[in-house]
Amino acid sequence: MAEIIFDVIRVFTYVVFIYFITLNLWYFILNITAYRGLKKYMLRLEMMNPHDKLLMRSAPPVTLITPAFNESDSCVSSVMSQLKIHYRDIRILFINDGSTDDTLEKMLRTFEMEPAFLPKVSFLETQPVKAIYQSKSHPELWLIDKVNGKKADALNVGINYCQTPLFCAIDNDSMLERDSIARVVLPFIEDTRTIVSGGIIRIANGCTFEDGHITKVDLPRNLLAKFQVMEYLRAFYGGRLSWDMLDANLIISGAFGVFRQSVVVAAGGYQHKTIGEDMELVVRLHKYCADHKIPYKIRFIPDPIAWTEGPTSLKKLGKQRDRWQRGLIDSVRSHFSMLFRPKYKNAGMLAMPFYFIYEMLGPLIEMAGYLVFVFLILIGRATTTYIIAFLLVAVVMGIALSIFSLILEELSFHRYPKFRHILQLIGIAVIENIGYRQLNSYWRIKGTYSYLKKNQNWY
Amino acid sequence: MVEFFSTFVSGFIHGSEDRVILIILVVLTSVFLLVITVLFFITVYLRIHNKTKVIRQKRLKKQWDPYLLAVMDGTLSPRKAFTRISKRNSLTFLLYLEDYIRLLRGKEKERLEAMGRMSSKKLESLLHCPFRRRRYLGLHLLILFHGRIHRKVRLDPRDMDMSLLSIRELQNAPEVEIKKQIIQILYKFPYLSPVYMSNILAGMGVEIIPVLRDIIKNRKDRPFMQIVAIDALRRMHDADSLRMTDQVLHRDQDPGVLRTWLKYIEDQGDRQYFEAVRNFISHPRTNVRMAAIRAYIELSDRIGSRDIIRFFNDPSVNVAVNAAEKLRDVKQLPHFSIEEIREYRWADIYLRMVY
Repeated sequence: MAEIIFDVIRVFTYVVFIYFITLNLWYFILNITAYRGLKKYMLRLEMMNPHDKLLMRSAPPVTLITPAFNESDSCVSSVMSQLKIHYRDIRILFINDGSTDDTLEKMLRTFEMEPAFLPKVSFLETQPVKAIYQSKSHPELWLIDKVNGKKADALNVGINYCQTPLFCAIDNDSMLERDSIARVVLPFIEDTRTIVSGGIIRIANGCTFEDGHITKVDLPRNLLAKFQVMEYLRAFYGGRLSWDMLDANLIISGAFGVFRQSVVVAAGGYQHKTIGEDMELVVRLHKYCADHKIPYKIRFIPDPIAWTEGPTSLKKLGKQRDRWQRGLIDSVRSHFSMLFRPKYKNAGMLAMPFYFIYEMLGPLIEMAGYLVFVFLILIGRATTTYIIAFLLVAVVMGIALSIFSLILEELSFHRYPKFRHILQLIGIAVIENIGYRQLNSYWRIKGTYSYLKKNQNWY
Repeated sequence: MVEFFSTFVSGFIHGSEDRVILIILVVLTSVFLLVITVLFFITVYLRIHNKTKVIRQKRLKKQWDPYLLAVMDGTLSPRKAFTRISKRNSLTFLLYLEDYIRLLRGKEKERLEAMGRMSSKKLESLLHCPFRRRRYLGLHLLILFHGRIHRKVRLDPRDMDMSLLSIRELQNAPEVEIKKQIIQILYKFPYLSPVYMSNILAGMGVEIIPVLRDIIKNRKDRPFMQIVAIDALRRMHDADSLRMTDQVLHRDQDPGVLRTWLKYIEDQGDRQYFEAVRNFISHPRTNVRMAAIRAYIELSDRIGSRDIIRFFNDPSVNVAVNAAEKLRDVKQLPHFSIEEIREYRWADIYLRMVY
């Protein structure tokens, strides 16, 4: 019996070893692709000034949709920042998703809103709308007050009342840079096949904002937030940018993404029953367009920036990661049929398997690997020298990937202005491997467990 | 191979005498430590490079400013100023000069342009540079300083990015031949936004109107080309081309072409095309119907009750919304009781937006 167990463990250790090698190989390829993508984009950026009059005249109207539930503290500053966006034709739809605090009253009072009529142009199923208001002082600002139905439902209400061909989904706590929209719609002008375009999200903690706009970029003081700065750089440069180059982006962040309304409506809008509605929608759009033979592009642009507050307590960060993991599992599970199907091109052949094997199962394999190593040491079946050597390789590879993301940042936008920022981020790239990385795996395993228990709380 | 691999891994896990695994891991760690060190120095170098670049540019700009201001004032000739300036042929200087030129008008602008033209040889050489960035900047600055097409500039349809950039830069070139070339190349990019394309065409001036008419007349095989051409005519507010209405508005026409032409008629507001428009207000395609109804409301003297019923009983909500938006500007509307209106499919839109 004991021998069978040891055989199983041995097979498992092979799996961990192969998994580890292929994962890092993948990351290496993705980072090289990201470098190429960034180089190409930087050149285009120099050539395509989004404020060029010709481009501005050709830019399609956009509606910003901001769902909010009990956001009394941040709703006004968030809308203020949206009102100051530089764009030719912009409308703002603030969706009050049945808030129980004074979000509605604050909005009505601050922006002098009064009841108005807005025709419903799409008919996605949602919770009922209670009232619609328009601002007297800013006619482009509308508020829809509705019965609580969670984020996806609120976004669907926004889509139903969206009068423009494009809409931009934004989280209430995200602050857009003034030219973000002008930049993020460029792919729609250059290529009519574009159905989604997303920008980069950066951590706002430590930065200074005035009138809802960033005036000084700095690193957060909180260590957890610092870890997130590094994580976001890695995820957006090493991840999204490279998937964009491969035409296989499966996530456009819910905090900032522009969508073609007609295609989203045709695909059925945001799904109510999912946690990661942003990823689920993008994966579904891949599937919908491929199934209906609609030529399409889903793009990620690395410089339109939305700044967002990252959680600063372990509890909140844990909850966020737990939710992300549940969203990921739900999206992969819902569209499992795309896996290894050539019909879905790179999205089905590369991105879906990657997300399934490395992102979804990754934390489980990593954690199980740690446990097996400890077990083997305890029973004297493995020497600590080998295991330490193995872990060291994992750590140095992780550090190399993080520093590579920093190089990409330096080659492009270098938004963290001080020399000490770079040194601090390099330090973060080293220490995040001890403790934080394992904690992340733990939260994601917890997320997997709660998903299996069908826990689907959003707010 | 599999056996070799499994022996390796099993040796590694069980801590056997096989030291090869350990050596591999140590080598991997050492290699990656070396990689990290190199990456660290690259990051630090890039940061220092970026910082010093900004400082160097600031210093140079401080040196250049007095000369540029003197040229603008006319106290120093462009030639003299050019010879006195350090790094006068650098792209940094020429791009800085561009910043000045963009802000100016009249003689001051001309003087600075004259100064830029002195770098023509350098810029011409950039047109053949293997680096795209330099090629583009060369093209961009040549056109900027010369104010017209430069003899060395050629369009290359094989490279979409460079072609589009060239087209954007060249759209104001006076030569009709260049314009024709631009139109030809522009149509080689079928996924480019039609609005963007028609804006480029509209910016090229009235000389291209005959070319656009020709496309509308003869390129029925490519409705996309016709749509862009019609939209460009609309943007140019060319009333004469509407005489082609009978040729364009017929039942077999592509719906996109129909929609664009109806929008063109709506924009021009010429009532002689009212009858032609009326034929399309019941078209089976929503977009065509929508455009026809908008044009119909624009051109008609009086909207009747049957029209209102038709607009607000339409199967598509977009038709009702568009009709309501147009009807807001109509002063005389037929009288209905609210009860009558309530029977329409989109009664609430009529009641809240028009009534």
